[in-house]
Amino acid sequence: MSQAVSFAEIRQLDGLSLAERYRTGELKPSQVTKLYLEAAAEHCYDSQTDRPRGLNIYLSLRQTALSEALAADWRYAAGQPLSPLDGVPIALKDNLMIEGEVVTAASRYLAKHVAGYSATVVKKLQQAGLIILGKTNLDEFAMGGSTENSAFGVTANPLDPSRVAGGSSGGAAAVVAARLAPLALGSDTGGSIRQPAAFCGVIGFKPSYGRVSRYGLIAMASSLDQIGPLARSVADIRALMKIIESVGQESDRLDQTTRADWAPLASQPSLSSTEFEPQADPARLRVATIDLESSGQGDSRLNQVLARWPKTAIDQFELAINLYYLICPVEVASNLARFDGIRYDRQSLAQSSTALQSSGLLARYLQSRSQLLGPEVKRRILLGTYTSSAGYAEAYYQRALVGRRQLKQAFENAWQSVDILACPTAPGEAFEIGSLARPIDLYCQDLYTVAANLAGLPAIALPCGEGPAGMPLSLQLMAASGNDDQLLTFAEQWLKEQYEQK
Amino acid sequence: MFKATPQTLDRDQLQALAALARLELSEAEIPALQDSINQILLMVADLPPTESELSYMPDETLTWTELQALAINETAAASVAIQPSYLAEIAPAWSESALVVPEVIDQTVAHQKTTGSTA
Repeated sequence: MSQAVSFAEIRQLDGLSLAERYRTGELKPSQVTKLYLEAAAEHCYDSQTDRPRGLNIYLSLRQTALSEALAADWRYAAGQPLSPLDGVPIALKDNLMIEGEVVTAASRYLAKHVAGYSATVVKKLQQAGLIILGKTNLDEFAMGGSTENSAFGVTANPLDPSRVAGGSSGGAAAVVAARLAPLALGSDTGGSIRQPAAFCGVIGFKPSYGRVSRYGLIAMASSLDQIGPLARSVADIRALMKIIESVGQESDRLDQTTRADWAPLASQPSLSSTEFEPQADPARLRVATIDLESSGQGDSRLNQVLARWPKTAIDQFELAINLYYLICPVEVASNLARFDGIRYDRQSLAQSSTALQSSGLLARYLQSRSQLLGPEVKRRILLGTYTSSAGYAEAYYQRALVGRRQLKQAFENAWQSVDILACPTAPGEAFEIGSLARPIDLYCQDLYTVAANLAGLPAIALPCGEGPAGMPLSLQLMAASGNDDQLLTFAEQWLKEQYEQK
Repeated sequence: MFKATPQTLDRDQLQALAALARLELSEAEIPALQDSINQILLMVADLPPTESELSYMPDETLTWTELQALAINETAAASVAIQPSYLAEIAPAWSESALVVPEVIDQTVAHQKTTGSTA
């Protein structure tokens, strides 16, 4: 590696630019990985002292990343990189499993849980040669919008450490914003990729439900969960999506959580070419802004952008938050029933809590759940149990399911006349840590993002100006289910135009 | 728009719910949980109507008519009692008890008797 390239310069490079430097021999994956690991250690939770450190972005770092990067050195030396992102460092949200390594989901319950198998996306990253640096912080079991619900402390926003990084993929957004990894993977159940991306001023993409495998993701609400990338360029998002998607041929799918009838995204630049080949002409796409009842961000650049496109109404768009907080907790209550103090790390659970000394199975079940799950997780389990219980399911859960179908139909009607829908990603800027004490105030941060999850749509959050406090605002773009390619193409073109106008 | 009657949970109801969810709540955490859950229930009270063809949106598989054909007939008996002689034949050890089995099992047994099949 040329000594002329400093780490300050290296960390400004996005994933594809880094890989290009590997190809020219200017940089080596092992040396880049070492520099990233050293920098990341200053912002990684200290498991020895059980205390947060720095911005508390990482929960763990992988020293094996170095040996994996050395292998990438050899592949580049032989002129045989595995993919356009071979040797590029990436961070994973700590609810994605890597076989043989601890996966906590930011919960005391799983503090010592070792994953028995790797997530499909992890296998695909490894097959493509990416270097997984470590695991990033999140709200416990991905429930929250600020990482304040993490059992291991809040992640501070790199742009203003007095403010939250958003959530639940707050660590994944912060790691990209702080340039402690060029790429990250998060999961999005109601906006958990897009909202933190908005708060940290980076790009976050929630693919269509069914494009990326959920196998190996610690489930929160299975009909809403979707894994997706965070990065600083749409080109990186596309390149990473091309690696992790699991659609089409059976050999690419690896498991049954994805669609066989969708085509893969358009080709990335080949290893010898940097030409981008969009499938659709972005200039021909029909774009509309969703007509909102709630107020936007005043006289912001974001509002100016949204005002350029004609408005269209999506029935129940802002009511979707109600539907979400009925449907999601029911699935949470079901998915988290598996945490019974028996199947997950009996020994470490006993070590984690001195009170877990009862030999009775029911007592252990009750104690483990009561003492090791956080308040937000308990709240959603209780809420889901209530709204799905006999006597109340019809009044709440079943009506919410009908509302979900109606929302989906409202989007289907809209796609007859538009290709891309636009709205803010979040109601405002990143808020100060501890300033939203009531859960419903936090829930309202998801006001504009949950609809895409309920309808299974692809959606992307793009930085768009600043708010009154100088923190980033974000534009959200959505497309019809399966039209991820069209959405990414338009997003890339839109961002390019913004840079040209500056 | 359907306005569900806003429900509120009192302390006892919350504890009963916690038992159902296999949780033990401490005295310290009950007030905050009760307060926040009641706020959420109030927030989610606005819901769309259901149970009518007008509000029904077809999903990938079923039309409204097909869904109605599959609906459970609540006027029909959910289960039937088997005649003791019949029971003695198919389950001698249980024949002394007042065993009630779901209709589908009864139909299966009847089918086996008709066809002579026990597979």
